[in-house]
Amino acid sequence: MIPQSVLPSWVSERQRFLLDRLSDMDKRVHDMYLGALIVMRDGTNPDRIAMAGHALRELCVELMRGAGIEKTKYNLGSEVNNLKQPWDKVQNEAKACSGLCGNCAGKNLRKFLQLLSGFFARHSMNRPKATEKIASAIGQIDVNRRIAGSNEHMPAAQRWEEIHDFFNKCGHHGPTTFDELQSRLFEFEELLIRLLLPTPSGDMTEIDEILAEEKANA
Amino acid sequence: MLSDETVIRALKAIAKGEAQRRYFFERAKSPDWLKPLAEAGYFQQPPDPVAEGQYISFPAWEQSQYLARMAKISAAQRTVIEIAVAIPETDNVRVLEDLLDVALAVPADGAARFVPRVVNWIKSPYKLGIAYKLRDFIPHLSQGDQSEAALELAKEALTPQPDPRWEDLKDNEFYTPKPQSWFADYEYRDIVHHAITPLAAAAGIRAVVLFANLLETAIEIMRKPGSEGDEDYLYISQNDLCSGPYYDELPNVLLWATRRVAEEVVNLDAANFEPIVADFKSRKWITFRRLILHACRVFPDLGASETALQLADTRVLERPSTQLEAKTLLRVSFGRLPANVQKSILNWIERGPDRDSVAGWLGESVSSQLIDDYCNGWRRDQLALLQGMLPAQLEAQLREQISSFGQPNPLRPAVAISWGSGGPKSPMLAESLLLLSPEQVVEYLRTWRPTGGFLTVSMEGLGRTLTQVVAQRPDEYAWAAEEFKTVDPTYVRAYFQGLWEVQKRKIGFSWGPVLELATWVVSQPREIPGRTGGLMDRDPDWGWTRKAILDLFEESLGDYPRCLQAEHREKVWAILRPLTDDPDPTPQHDAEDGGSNTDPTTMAINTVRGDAFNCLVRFALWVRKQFEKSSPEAEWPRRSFDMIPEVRRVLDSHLDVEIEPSLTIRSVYGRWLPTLAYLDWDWAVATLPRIFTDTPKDLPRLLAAWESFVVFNSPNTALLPILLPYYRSAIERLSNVPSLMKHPSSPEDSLAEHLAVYYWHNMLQLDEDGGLLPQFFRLAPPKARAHLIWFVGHVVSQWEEDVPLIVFDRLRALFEQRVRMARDADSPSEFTAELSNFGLWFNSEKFGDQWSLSMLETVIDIVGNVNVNMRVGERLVELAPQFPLECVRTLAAMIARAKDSWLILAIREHAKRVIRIARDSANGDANFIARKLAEDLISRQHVEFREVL
Repeated sequence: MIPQSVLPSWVSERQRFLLDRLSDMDKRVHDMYLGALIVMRDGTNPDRIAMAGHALRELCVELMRGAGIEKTKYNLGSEVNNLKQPWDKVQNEAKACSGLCGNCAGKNLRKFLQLLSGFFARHSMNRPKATEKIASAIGQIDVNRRIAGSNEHMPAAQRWEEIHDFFNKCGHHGPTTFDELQSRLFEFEELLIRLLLPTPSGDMTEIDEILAEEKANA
Repeated sequence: MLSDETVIRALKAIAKGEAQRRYFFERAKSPDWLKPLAEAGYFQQPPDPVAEGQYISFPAWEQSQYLARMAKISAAQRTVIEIAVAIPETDNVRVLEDLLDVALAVPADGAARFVPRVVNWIKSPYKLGIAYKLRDFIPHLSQGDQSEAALELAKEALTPQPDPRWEDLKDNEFYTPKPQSWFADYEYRDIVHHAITPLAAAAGIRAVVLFANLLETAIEIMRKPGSEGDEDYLYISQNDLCSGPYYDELPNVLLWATRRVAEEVVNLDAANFEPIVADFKSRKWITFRRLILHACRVFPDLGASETALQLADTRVLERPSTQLEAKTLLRVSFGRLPANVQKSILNWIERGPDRDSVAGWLGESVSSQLIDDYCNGWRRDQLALLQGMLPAQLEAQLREQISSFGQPNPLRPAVAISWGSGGPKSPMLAESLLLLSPEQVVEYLRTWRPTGGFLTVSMEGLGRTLTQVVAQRPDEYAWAAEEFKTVDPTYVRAYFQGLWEVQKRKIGFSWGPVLELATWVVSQPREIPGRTGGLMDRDPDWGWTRKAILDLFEESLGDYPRCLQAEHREKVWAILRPLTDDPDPTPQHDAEDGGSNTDPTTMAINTVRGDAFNCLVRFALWVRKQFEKSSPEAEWPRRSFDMIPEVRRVLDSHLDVEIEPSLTIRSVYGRWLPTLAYLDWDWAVATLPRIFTDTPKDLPRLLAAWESFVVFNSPNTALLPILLPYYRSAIERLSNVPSLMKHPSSPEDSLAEHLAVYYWHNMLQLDEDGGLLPQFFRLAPPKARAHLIWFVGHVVSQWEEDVPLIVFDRLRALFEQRVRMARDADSPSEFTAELSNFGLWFNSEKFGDQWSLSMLETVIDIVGNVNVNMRVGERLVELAPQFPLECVRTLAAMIARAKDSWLILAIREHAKRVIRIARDSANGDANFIARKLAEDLISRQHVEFREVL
């Protein structure tokens, strides 16, 4: 880990703060983040978007893992997602009657296709549970976690997923621009700052609410 | 009632940190929290005092403050008491104050449960406001039917303690042990004052006994071991029992309290009179007899028989300690006394005072007639006390005495206390002396003789009055100078001091007779065989007059109308010359005072010879100026002592150590070196090695001259070339030779100032091999280095616009070099004092905003703080719109490195403004630091920073 005092001068105050906090959590996440920053800085590297995206996606994954969400070697969700796009195409073609409609497929295949359709429908309905898990993990990371209710971290979790997916796309050379990566990184940093910067002012707001109840009960 | 869910939420919220806990307890208003918070253990760990170096602080405890608030709610009081008495013992006075607030708020029976703990708190060395609370606590217990607890608390709180200094001072015959209390004297009086009436009402005669016991203890502490008799001398410091305490000292306060409580208890129930008198009679000290006499006067009916008993012994009317109370009682009760007692008193008056004693008081030379007059006057005064109650014959006698000796003196205490009576007293007021001519005044001075004795009129007192009179009528007294040859030296000195006062106002007078008198004084043998004297008495010899003449000359060797004129030169020299050989300071005086108590330069203005040398230089300068004034500039010769050879002879001869070993005199050469060089450059150049002689045995003389030069003179660019080796030696001495000069003067600081000035004048270089400045920074202690940086900041901040830019470049280079040195140092803390003075540079607004901000940030990074933080805060606000990131980052660093809350309190409002500006700026980092800083401050319990988020 690079000490704060010898970090490159272009590392911003926000990034220094995050590096500091990430290093307290796990040396690897600190290095992933710093690696992403360094590679993004290197304008001569033609693959910097993919390399940074990859590092940042891994950062997301490691933070979740540190908060209790294990990434298994075999990821059923990813497998399903991989099937989802071809399946949609098949369905569209079937609607156009290009060989897979009821008139032009065998009974067993039709039965299978119906089951598959139900499977994707259920998968689509169960998808939010993953967000809840992320929300729970974010709650673990959040140094300011409060007890206001279980949905407190859902918006952050949704943003987290979106950002994760974006970084994943970058890591796989998906279509994007450097400016978009920078913008998403800033958004991700803000999200992390919200989670990692202690904000006792928020606790005091909550105490004000509790004391307001005291007044109401008096 | 609060719901369980609310309580759980609250407990979780306040468990998150100190700031959250504090925030909650400061604002909670409901007693419903008491039990759950107590069960959660929130009242079990009061914070300990925090000791840091020689200081100690007492953190507030919001829990105890909450308890104090809840104690005011009747329904919660029982719960509060149980919680409060279960709080573990602590030395934190802030917590104790809160618990006393609890005790004051709850009913007295509950409050009484705190008494055993309060007794312990009283003995804590730190009390803050405990005395103020205790002041109300004793009445609270008394008025709540808890008199036993109130008495116990009063006894423990008010019992006088032995004087801790007595062991060290018991051999000092003038030192009287002083009874101590657990509180400051004024606090003690305040507690007593508030306790008297409630205790009298609640405890009756037990309260009287309590205060009488306390008074007795105080007296016994005051009395030295082995003292005999019943005299306690309290009548000296408290001669009037009817008044409040003259001083806030324990014996005075307790005497007053005993008298007051006794009166109140008798007023409540007359039957208490006799037991109280019996109690006072059982006590040894004379003060209790005074109290009995007083009580008999206040309660004449109750005390009729006791009055007769007391006054039957007329010694009570004579004894200094009892006479005021006895005579006051006699005046109101004489008519009701039994005939035999009346007769005894009249016989006592008829006998009158003892004539031998009277002769002793009035002085040896007093005539028999004067003694008779005194005795008759005394009889008149005593009879006057009984006027209207006397037999006809004595009434007639009294009228006759009044017609012969005037109106009687009013009844007065044996010792009259008057504020500010410590100085010497004059038998005549200045207003009276001003009614007389100078000749009549001299006649009075010649014939008046002091009677002697402590706190009586003296020659010194009369002399001080004379000084005022001469200062008001200088010309008349100047012409009468000759007359003063016939009076005591004390008055001659006072005379010259009066003229000195005149010259301070540049008024002037006729010099001829005055110079004649001064010449005569100098011709007198300095010592007067067999004579003694002292500061409050009279001059011991002619030395003080000689000094007064020099003071007058120094004020008069000027250039204004009626100052000394050219034609006076010979006479002035004839007076001054012998004074340069005056024996004061003697070698012994020089060694004792000049070495350890007073530095040589101070000695030079407080001794005759030293001052004569100061005057000698002024004289030389004055002669030159007189010449220049009287001739065209073209005719002026080169400045040289050739024009004043008499001065050169004296100066040269006193540089010979065999003739003049005094450090005092050597210091004068240093002090006036620039003037001497002005008067004769060649002489100065040639004489420097003798003035700053550098042999080891002459080191004290070198120090005396050098320190006087460097402290009392500005840097002198003309002298620098010839002084370089002496500056170099002075720098070398910085780390290993202590200076002679005493605080507040600091030769080390002055040396630093000289070097700084030479540097910005480009006469010294920063990196010059073997240069003075590198040598200074290498050898100087941190304090001297710090002073140099402080001095530059201080001076630069006062510069106007016309200073060349190159000067600032040089100063920036200097500071940057110091920063580099600090960064490279093994121990940067060695640079803390030096670099933290950068605050003055920053605030001066003279070094460029960008550079100043950058350097400020660097300094804080290295040493953690800068001085003059308030102004630094203001300056950051001014710069923040242009440099939001730099300003908020610097502010954050300052606050992060602050060791305590004082910095934040000092710059709070400025900090808020900087944070707001940074928060609203377009700079993401500035915005982030602003948010983070505000949250940090809130977590450090500065909740008010919520407003900037």
